[in-house]
Amino acid sequence: MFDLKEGTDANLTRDRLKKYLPKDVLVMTCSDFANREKAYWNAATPIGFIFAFGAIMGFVVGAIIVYQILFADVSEHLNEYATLRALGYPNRFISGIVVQQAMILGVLGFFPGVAGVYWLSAKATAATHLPLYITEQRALSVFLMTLAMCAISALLAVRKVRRLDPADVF
Amino acid sequence: MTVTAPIVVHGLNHAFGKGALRKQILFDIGTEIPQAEIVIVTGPSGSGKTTLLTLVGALRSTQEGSVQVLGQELCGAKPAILEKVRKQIGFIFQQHNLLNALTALQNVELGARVRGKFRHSEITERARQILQAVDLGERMNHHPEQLSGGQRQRVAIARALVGEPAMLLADEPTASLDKQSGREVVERMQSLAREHGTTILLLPMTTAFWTLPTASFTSKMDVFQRSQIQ
Repeated sequence: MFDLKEGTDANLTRDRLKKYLPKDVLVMTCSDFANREKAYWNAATPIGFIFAFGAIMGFVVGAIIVYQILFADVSEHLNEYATLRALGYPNRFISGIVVQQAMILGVLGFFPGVAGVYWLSAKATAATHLPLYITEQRALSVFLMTLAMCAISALLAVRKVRRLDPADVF
Repeated sequence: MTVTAPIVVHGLNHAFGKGALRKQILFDIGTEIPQAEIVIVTGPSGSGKTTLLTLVGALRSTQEGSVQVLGQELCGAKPAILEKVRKQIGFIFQQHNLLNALTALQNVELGARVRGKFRHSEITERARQILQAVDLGERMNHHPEQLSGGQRQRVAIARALVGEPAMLLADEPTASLDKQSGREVVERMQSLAREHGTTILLLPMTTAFWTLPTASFTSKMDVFQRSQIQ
C-alpha cells in the first residue's frame, strides 16, 4: 500500500509502476480495487444475479397486483366510464383518470414501503453480513420505477373500457 | 345553398349475437332528418328504437349500411371521429347514468365541459342555471344517491341540455317525470330546436308528452313505417 504525495496523479503512477513490475503483479488505485471487488461479487458469485432477479420479480408481481386492483375498480365503475365516453370524452381522458388512480396507489404504497425497507435491510445486513445501503438516488430510482409500474398496469386495466362501445354497457 | 341533413341513414342493418344466436334487429333502415326538426321515433317494443338511437348517437359501432351524423360517416369511423360527433350530441339515456362520485352540479358541468366552447367560469354558471330550470336549484350539491329517481333523471336531462348540443337524442326522457316537469322538459327541448336549430330525436314517452298540442312538434315520424319490422 502506497500513500502518494498530494497532487500526484494516481493513474499515472500506477501505469509507471506496472512497467517495472512483472505481468503477474496487479497494480491498482483505490477506485480500481473497489470496481474489481464489485465486479467479482456481481459476476463471479450468485449474489448480484439473485439480487437483480429479485428486483425484476418484485416489479412484475407489483405490476400484476396493481393491475388486479385497478381492473376490479374499472369493472365496478364500467358504467360510469362508459358514460364519460358517451358524453364525448376521449379515451385519453379515461386513461388519464385510471393512471391518476395508479399514481395515488404508487405514492401511497411507496412511503410505507421505504419504512419497511429500512427495517428489513438492517435485519438483512446483520444476518448476512452483506453491506446494504439505501441511498437517496436509489430510493428515487425505485420510486420512479414504481410509478412506471403503476402506469403500465393502469394502461392495461383500462383496455376494457377502450374496447367496448358505450352502448354495450348500458 | 344546400345543407346536408344532420342525420342521413341508408340501408342500415344491425344484428345482435353471433352464429346461431344472431338476431337481426334493424332491417334496411333509411331516413333523412332535416335540421331543427323534432322527430318522434315510434315502433313496437323490441323493434330496435333504442338501437337506432345509439347508432345515430355514435354509441354503438355501425355494422352495415351508412349512418351520417352532422356531416360525418359513422360506419367504420375512427375513435376520434366518434368522439367528435358525441361531443356535439346531447344524449338522454333510459337510465340516468350519473357519476355517483360527483354532485348534481358537477355531473351537469361534465356535459358542458366536454363541448369545449365555454370558459371555465361560464361552465359552472350555465350548470347552475339549467339545474334551477329543472327545479333542482336546492339540490345542486347533492350526490345522485341522495336524489330521488325523478330528480336523477332531471339532472341527466340538464346534463344533456347544458352544452346546447347540435343534436339531442332522448330515450324516453320524461318516463320518470311528473306531468308538470315532463312538460317543462319538452318545452325546453322545443325552444332549443327553435332558437339553436337543434335536431331532436325522441323515443315515445309517458302521457306528459302527449298532452301538448300536436302542432307544437315539427313532425312525428314513424321511422319504422318505411322499413321492415320482423
